[in-house]
Amino acid sequence: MKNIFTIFLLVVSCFYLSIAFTFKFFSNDIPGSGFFPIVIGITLIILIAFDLIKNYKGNREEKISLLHISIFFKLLIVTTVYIAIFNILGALLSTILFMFVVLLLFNENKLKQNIILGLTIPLSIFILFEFLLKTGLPQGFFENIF
Amino acid sequence: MKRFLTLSIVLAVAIMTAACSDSTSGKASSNDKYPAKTLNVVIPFGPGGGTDLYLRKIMEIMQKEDIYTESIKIENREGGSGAVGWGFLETKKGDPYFVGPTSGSFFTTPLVSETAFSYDSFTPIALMGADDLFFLVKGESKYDSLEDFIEAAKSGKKMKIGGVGQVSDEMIVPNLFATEAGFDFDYVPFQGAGELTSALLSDSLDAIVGNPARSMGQIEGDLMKPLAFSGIERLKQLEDVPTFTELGYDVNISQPRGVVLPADVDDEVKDWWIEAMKKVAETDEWKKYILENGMSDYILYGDDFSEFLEETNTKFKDSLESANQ
Amino acid sequence: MQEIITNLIQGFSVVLTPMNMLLLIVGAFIGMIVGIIPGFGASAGIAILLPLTLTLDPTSAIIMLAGIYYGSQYGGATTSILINTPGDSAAVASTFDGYPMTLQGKAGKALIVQAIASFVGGTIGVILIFTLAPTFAKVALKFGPPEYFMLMIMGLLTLIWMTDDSKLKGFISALIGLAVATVGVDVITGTPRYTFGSPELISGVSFIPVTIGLFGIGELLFRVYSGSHKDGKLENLDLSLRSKENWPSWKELMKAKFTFLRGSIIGFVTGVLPGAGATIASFFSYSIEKKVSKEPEKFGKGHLPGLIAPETANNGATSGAMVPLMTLGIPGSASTAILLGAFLMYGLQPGPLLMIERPDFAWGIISSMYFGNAILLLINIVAIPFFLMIVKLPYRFLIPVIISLCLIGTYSLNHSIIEIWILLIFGVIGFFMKLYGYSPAALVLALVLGPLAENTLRQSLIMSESGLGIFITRPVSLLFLVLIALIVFYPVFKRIFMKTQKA
Repeated sequence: MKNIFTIFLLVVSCFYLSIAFTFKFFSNDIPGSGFFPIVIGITLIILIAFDLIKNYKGNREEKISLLHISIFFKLLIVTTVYIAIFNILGALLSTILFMFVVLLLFNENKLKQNIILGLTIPLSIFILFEFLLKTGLPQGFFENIF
Repeated sequence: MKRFLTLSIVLAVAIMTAACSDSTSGKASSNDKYPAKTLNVVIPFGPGGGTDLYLRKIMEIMQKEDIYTESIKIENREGGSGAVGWGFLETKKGDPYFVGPTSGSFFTTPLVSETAFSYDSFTPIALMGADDLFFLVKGESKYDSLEDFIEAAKSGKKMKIGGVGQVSDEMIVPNLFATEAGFDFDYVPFQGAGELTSALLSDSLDAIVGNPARSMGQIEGDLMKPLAFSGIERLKQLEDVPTFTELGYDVNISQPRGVVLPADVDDEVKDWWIEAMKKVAETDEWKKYILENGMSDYILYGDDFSEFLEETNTKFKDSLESANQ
Repeated sequence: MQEIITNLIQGFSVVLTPMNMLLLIVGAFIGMIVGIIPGFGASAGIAILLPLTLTLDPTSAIIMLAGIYYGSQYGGATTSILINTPGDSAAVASTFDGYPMTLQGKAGKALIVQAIASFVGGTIGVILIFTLAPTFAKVALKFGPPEYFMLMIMGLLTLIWMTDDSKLKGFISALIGLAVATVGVDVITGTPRYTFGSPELISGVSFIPVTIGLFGIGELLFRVYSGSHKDGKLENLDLSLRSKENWPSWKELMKAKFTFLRGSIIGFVTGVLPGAGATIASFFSYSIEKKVSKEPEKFGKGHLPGLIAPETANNGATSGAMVPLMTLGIPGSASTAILLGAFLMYGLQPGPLLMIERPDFAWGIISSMYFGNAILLLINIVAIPFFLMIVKLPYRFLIPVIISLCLIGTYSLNHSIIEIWILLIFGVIGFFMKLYGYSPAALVLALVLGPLAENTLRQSLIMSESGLGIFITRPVSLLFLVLIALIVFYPVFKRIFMKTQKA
């Protein structure tokens, strides 16, 4: 697992470097827009490769705790969905749904409590940001109703 | 069944709450008297900057003098040198409850990056003033006049002149000047006015260009000396600073401080705004603002403004092309 | 000396009116709240309240806005300590030892020490302004791009002192930070880099979503992974202020007296330099403190000096940044730039003449900072029981609240959905970094210092007639170079010296 992450970093660095080459390394006698990216990219690849080799040489022991992995992924997915619908359903509705689902996940068997919290907390956050701080939050498709 | 019921109650409450919140957009029906709703002001830059301040001032005057009778909501949408804010404004075609500013980036950003908008994607209302630049050297510098500077520039020393941004009016002015006066120099771009000023004051640069509002304090404190002004006329606050044009160099490109609405708004709305801007321009407060902030008193409305935008865009376009050679 | 007293008296007389004191308290309080909300920082707070202050007279208005400015430094650290979510990048360094203290059940102590440290930093800063502002202003004037570049190199070097576990991983983390920093339009040439046609990426990846993602969301994910929502470790601790254990002992504080001093001065001096602000100050202070400490291995595990150093520094820097603003009219950071805008709005001309023509305004503001700091100390200590209640809440309730606050807070800055995605992506990256021993702190520091280093290097080279020689021909830059050489080669010399001694 550790190696997968390191390899992921390596791949991204190679991608980074390949784009870096499209910029000028030097222009008008001074380092151009490609100078730093290229240097960073090359150094990254060398160091990550080093790290990878060290990993292979060193202890192969790796314990991933799988105890909570299922809820971990569920949280990630729910959060991703939350961001995806944020603009579509509007800040208030998506936060209500998000909070409700996450509470269902973590605070099991307390439906009533979850509903109450899932409504009051997002509402307070919404009021705080939209009215007190006057930052504009998206209202999703509700915007076009009026 | 119970679950479904609770879920639908949740949804219903949510919808009702969203419905009760202050909804500020939507197309105005032609029967509504304008203005009937909250105005959304979109500022494509961060708070405290030149563009932010002048548009806020206009809005302030409109509220104070009861010109705009509903509430006004101001939002900063920074990013991409204006691409984000103006890009957003462009999507509000036909909506008369959005408004935005103009600035140098209004022209330069579409010219250098692929943006969804360009200077003619909006309904031009009025030009409320223009921001020109001073050509500044350090207070203790040995150059007392523009001619001194040009002489030194021509006699072998390669001048280092700084400005904010690589693609901006601050880059164009020194370039035009150097071309007109016939000397070679190196332009040093900076990310912000603070770094730019300290670069000049720490003897790292020979000259910079600077916005009057921000440089006034340092000029009055003798930290910097203005050698020329890029406006059409001399600035009232510093009447003894000659313009480039007077000295024989055709350098005149400014940051237009205008007001635009999204494209495709009703003619009545457009006319309402032009009248409103006329009222604002006549207030003592606006006149005072222009004076105190070193803006040029250059005011145009409607079609005159359209034409001006077109001409300015050509100027910027030509300058960028010649500067890039 | 006489002049200092006159300025003090004048300043105090301006501040000590009921109206101004009220505005001061309101401003400081709002600043603190604003600092606590992730993402929403001083700049946003000041911008929002600006229209509301228009009816006031300039001095009163700025007293309130300034209150928001330095008040936010107090708030930002609160969430750093409690949930490892820095309110802004200046509060990142406070997570290093502050959060471990919470995990050890010492949240109360951490919060109290944080308040005291902030107070000391801010107050020493104000004293330095009163006594030495003109001197510091002169120093600031000597700093041009070459000097800043040297400063950046020193900053990046201190990175090495900060990371313990794996130097290799620390470097990799820093390089990732540098790489992320290259996204956006290159200031020097105007070429867009890694923007993939998106207008939002043209100005680069802002560090707020990255920082909050890496530290806040990353930690949250880690705790879910480790089952914090099940084990309820923290919730059963006695955190009330009545328990003596939750107050720092006088002895502990005295032992760290030099840390207080060092941090404040480092912070102040860094803040004076336009362009280097509270963030860089807090990192510098932490690294230097760790380097000179006799117990460096304790840092990062809930060691008091590790919290004191960055907290005194970031408040010292906030005071320091007022120096170029007031004496030269040069804004040192985003928040001071907005304050400058506010000055202009009120018709005040920031520049060297401001202090001479409007001493009541200038010294009034500076004096207000002293009172503001004192008031904030009080507010913070009084509010601590409320903050502690948050720690005692079962984690499973905090999870969705933290996520949505971070998300909405970040969104409220630029209304950009892309930034929220960045928040999540870096949250995941932060999780892996924590799991595998990389250093998110190095990433953030590199992200902040990287662009400055790159720009100043290239600006210096454009300006130089002698290529790299410019760094030697300018006195201040040369001084830095010598310092850096000493720092880098000192361990080598030491070893050679010891070897020759043995022989």
